[in-house]
Amino acid sequence: MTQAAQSPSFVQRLVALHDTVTRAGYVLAGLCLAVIVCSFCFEVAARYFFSSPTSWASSMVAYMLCAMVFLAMPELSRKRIHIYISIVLDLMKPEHATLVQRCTRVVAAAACLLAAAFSFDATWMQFNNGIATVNEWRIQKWMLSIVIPYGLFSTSIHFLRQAADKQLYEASGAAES
Amino acid sequence: QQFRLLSSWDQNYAYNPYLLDPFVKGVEEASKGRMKIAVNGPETVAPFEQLEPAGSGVFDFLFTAGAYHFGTTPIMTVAEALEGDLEKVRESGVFDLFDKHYQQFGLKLVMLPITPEGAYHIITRQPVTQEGDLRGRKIRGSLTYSGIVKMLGGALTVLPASEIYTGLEKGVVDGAGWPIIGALEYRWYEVAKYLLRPGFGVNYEPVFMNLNSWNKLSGEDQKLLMEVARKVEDSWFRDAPKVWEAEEKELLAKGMQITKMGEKQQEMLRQAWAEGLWGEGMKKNAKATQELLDFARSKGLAK
Amino acid sequence: MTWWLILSSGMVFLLTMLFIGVPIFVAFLILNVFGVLYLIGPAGFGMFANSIYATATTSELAAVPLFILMGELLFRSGAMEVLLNSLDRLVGQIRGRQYILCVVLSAVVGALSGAAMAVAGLLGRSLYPTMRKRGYDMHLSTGTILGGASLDPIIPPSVLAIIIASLAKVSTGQMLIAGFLPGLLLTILFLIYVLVRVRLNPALAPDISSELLDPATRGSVLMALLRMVPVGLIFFLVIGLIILGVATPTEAAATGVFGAVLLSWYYGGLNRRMITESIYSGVTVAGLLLAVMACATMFSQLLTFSGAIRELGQFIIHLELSGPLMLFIMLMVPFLLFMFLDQVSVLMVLIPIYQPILGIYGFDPIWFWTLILITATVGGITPPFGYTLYAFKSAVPDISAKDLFRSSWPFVWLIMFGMLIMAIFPSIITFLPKLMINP
Ligand code: NA
Ligand code: NA
Repeated sequence: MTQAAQSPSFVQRLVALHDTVTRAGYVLAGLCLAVIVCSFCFEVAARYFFSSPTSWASSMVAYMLCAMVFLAMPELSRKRIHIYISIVLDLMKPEHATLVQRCTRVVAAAACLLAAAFSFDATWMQFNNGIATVNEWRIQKWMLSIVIPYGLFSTSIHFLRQAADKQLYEASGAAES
Repeated sequence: QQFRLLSSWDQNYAYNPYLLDPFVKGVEEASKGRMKIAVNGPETVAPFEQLEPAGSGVFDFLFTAGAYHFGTTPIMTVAEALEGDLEKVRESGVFDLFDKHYQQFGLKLVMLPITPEGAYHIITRQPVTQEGDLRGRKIRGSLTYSGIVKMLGGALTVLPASEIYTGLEKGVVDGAGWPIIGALEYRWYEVAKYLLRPGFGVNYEPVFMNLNSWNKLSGEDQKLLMEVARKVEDSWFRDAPKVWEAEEKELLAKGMQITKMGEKQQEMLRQAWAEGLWGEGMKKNAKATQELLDFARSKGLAK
Repeated sequence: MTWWLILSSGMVFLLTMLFIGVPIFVAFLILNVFGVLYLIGPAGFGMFANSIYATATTSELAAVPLFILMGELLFRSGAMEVLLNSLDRLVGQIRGRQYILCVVLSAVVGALSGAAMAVAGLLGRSLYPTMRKRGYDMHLSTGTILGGASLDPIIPPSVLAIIIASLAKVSTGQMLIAGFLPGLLLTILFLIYVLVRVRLNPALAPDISSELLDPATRGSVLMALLRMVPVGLIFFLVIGLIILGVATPTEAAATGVFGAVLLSWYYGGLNRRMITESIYSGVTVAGLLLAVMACATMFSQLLTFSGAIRELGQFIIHLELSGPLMLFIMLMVPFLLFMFLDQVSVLMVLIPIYQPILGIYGFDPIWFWTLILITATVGGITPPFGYTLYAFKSAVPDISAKDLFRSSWPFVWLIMFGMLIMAIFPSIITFLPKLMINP
């Protein structure tokens, strides 16, 4: 990336932007988890010490959990820590394993793109029809569900970028690299 | 022809023997086996996500409650604020208003069983307070119960049905709102000893059909479905109070006791119920709610 | 297409994708896309999108990142050193005392954290080098750590118990509490095993006289116990609140995190870096698990939609197998699958299939799912694939796969033996949860 900084091509800039957005999503995911902790601690205290349960804590936790999972997804893919089973790849010749892995990444990219498309479709429908969530604390559903197509789409791009990567497969001996 | 019905409740749901089963059997018998309905439950689609697949035609029928799709439209939830007299409701033509409203979601209203006033109740771990209310208590419910719980001074907690038992058992909630039958089947009498009386509210439990599936039916079959639906509605409206009484008797025999809310609260019960529902409806979709309210007033179904 | 063709072609398709290294959540995405297209048609994609949303917004699953976060905070808090020193003092002057220490420490750490991987890594980094340096047997040391780490998902709190409870739709609280006595039983089995092994072959453990020179093994017993009190409070904050009904399991997990932060402050280990590191660990592990669950839920919906589950139930009834045989089969299938596959993906497929069978045979749900929980835990140390194995391997990189596998098998059999006892005496599992029902 340091070389790229000197004279970044358009593609390199896009890649850098993608990485920045991915990283920002991951930081937000961390914040979501912190909010989950605080909401429930507040709820327990409010209920147990002041007998006045909140009306928003459990809804908040549900929303933050969903946001956390899909905001973190691209960064986990970027760092290649999504769980996969490597025992067959480890047994192959590195060249063959590389080929197989590049193919699976293309397939994975396609699958995530398709899933991003239909989950975006669902979000779009929620946006158009003004559909709200059914939790105690109600919000517009699209404001939350938009993280799902975001996570899947960005993940799909990461898989594509990895498929273009020419590095040889290294038997990791581990579930995650 | 095989149809798929999606239900918001599992097989233990107390209304099944009176609403769902007679409808399914009735259609099969009336069509002499030409039309068969297979039932899928919440294990196939989560209760709050069921309107979409029924509207898009993954399922042909949907048996549900308005509160479960309140996020999409409040109309069937708010409908429970109307007066619950089956004849009057039918004559008013409000049925067609609902039908037209749900057609925008790709659904045709087929059956609308009404449980008369007193269709809901609250079961509690402790008897009512000296003031005759539930001051400071946490009560499980959907937003259907918001008006009542507020009037009684309690705090509403939304918990899925599957968590009612443990919630009551551990005191995470002090009480739970539910249709007036069901505590027996779900064994809640083991963890909550009091039946709050009187019951309140009217219950509408609609069966929708996917609009395309409906349009594909022959006129004869459409008529057949409607006839079966009317029969089920009639017999349920007639039998409901007897069914409640039988269940209440069994619950008392299992050791539950009756706790009565104060007279002041009883007087406000009906108004609190209706105002809570109209208020929630206005917040979600003011236009449709106002339309329903105006129509209902003009027909004497609401104040 | 008949039900068994749907089921088996789905399985073969899924297994193929998993074995050629498709990331697990993607494998389920692909399987479900084809399943939707074949069984429902494009109209089913909306339902698929909603099922992803519904799973990801299941608030009881928030306990997954919370339990991981709690463990990570505790590991970085300085509490572990205190625990290790206290337990070191409490374990008696007995040959093979490091094995005992390892088992007891694992059980105690198991009561504080939610997943086996973290424990295997922690013990691999901290305890294993000491054991080797003092001349303890490599295989038995490794095995004890692997077995000990396996106690973690069984003893509450447990991420795996949360996942199973939410998939099988049983009470999360009961499922958590149910693991307590089985965890204790397995701890005792492990202790007996290492004592017997050392007795039969003294070469497995060095003479302890040198060890007793270590200052950690001296001092007052009372002080050692007192020093463990703050850590005990954390356990109470989680499990106590659940049993007393003050909080739901998810809320208790959050108060546990709060307690872990307080404890880190008390031990002086609290700083911004350890908090962010712990949070990102929680996000990472939970993100991986929940992504798989969100993308896989549709599979069980498709199975019920197609009627395959109902037909399978009918088929099982016709087989008329005896209860014990059925139980054996139902535990053997995941045991074999867990050798090669990861825990969550197997559970996502098997739990919906198993649910109706439970009803047919009248198996107590909490009892049965706890046995499944233990089977899944064993899966972490059955070669060749297992998270616990790999976590240990990454902490101790110079151990060969052969040695690793050889070390783990005795503990696999020990846990299986423990399961046999629990199958014969179900009250080991059901006693505590039943106690919760009738207060
Ligand atoms: Na644990
Ligand atoms: Na394994």
